[in-house]
Amino acid sequence: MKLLLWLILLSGLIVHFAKEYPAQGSSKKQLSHGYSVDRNSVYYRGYKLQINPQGFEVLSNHWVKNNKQVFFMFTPRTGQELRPGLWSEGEDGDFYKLNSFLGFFERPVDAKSFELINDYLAADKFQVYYFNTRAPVKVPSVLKDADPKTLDTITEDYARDKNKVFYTRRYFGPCTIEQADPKTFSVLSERYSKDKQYAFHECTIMKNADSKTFRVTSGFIAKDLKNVFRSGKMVASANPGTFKHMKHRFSNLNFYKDDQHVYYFKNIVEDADPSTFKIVGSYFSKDHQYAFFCSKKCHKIYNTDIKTFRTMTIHSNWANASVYARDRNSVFLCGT
Amino acid sequence: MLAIETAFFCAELKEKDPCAVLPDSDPDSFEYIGKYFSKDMSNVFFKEKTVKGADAVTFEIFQADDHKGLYRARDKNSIYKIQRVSAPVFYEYKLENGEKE
Repeated sequence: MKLLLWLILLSGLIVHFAKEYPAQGSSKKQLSHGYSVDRNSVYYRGYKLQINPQGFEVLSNHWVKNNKQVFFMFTPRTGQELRPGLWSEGEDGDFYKLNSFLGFFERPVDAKSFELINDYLAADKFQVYYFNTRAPVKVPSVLKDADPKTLDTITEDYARDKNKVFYTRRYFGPCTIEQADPKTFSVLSERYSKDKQYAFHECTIMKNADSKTFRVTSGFIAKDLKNVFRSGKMVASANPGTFKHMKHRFSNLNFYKDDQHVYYFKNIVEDADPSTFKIVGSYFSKDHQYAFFCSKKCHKIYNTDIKTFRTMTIHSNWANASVYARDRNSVFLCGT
Repeated sequence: MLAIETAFFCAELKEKDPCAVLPDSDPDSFEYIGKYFSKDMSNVFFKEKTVKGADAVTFEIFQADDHKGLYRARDKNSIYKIQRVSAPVFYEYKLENGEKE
């Protein structure tokens, strides 16, 4: 009987303690992107992090926040597991505490109002942040002069607030399109845009371009009534009415022509006749009179038999394909 | 390959004509073997330079890394490591004869 009483008491105690002190991990809540949280700690892939779990939230694979702080996480390099120590201040690891980057941020990030706008932009009530994990400098930076209250994205590459327009696609970080008027601003392509007064290439104003007739014809090429532009720069003496990209069967080379000239990038190929000009291979081209070797610039090759000039390809087991040119008399090897 | 009279080497650096006659090449036996390599009866060329000491008959490339500009070749006597070191306009290369693989 005594033994039975003891057993009942013992089982009662066990039930009581199990309720009061649940086993560790049982209250752990799984969040997205490898994070989990319990009452006392935040974990990333099972590693405990030095971060207060109150109000902890995963915003994306790069951003997490709690009630007081915002954290930016770099993508770990292949095979590199994150350790708790990487969170500590000053260590150049994969995790950074944004609030410790006072050099970058004039004022601390406000966690309560911090929100992501798109893949590149985030904002709190004080400022707008830019980050691009594909860019060489991956540390988030402040988008200067941007007003977080009125900031809105136009396309994936452009954003505007009530005063300014921003281009956010650039590899080396965002820039402000200084003279652009946000009210009349419109995006034409990934790199070209215009407002009622000016045309723009990325963040540069194109002073020679006429905004009213400005249009984009292909990725690099834009035209207005009088001029042709390649990558925002004027192609000298090109005729916008007849200017077009010269297509080649195999590769997308940078040859263009109009009724007067042939162009390689934005330079005229001297002495080339646009009506008979032909791209014969990656580095070689010809018209009815001359053969040309084009690498950084196009040069005329003298002493060729133009009728029989053509490119040849050879294959070997150590190189995929090698191109050279030949005519009736000579071979021409390519040195670039 | 049809018989040729002249072999030219074309590069950006030439002032007027981008293509210059490949020095010391024998047109009768000249053969382009791929990428920057060509040979004739007695010489092997890397771009416009002669690969010193290489035996043209048995010369063969067995490894090519275009991205690094690194090529490994062998003939009956040696193994060659040929490296293209890029500079803005002109390419140089280093030859290390007799390197052991």
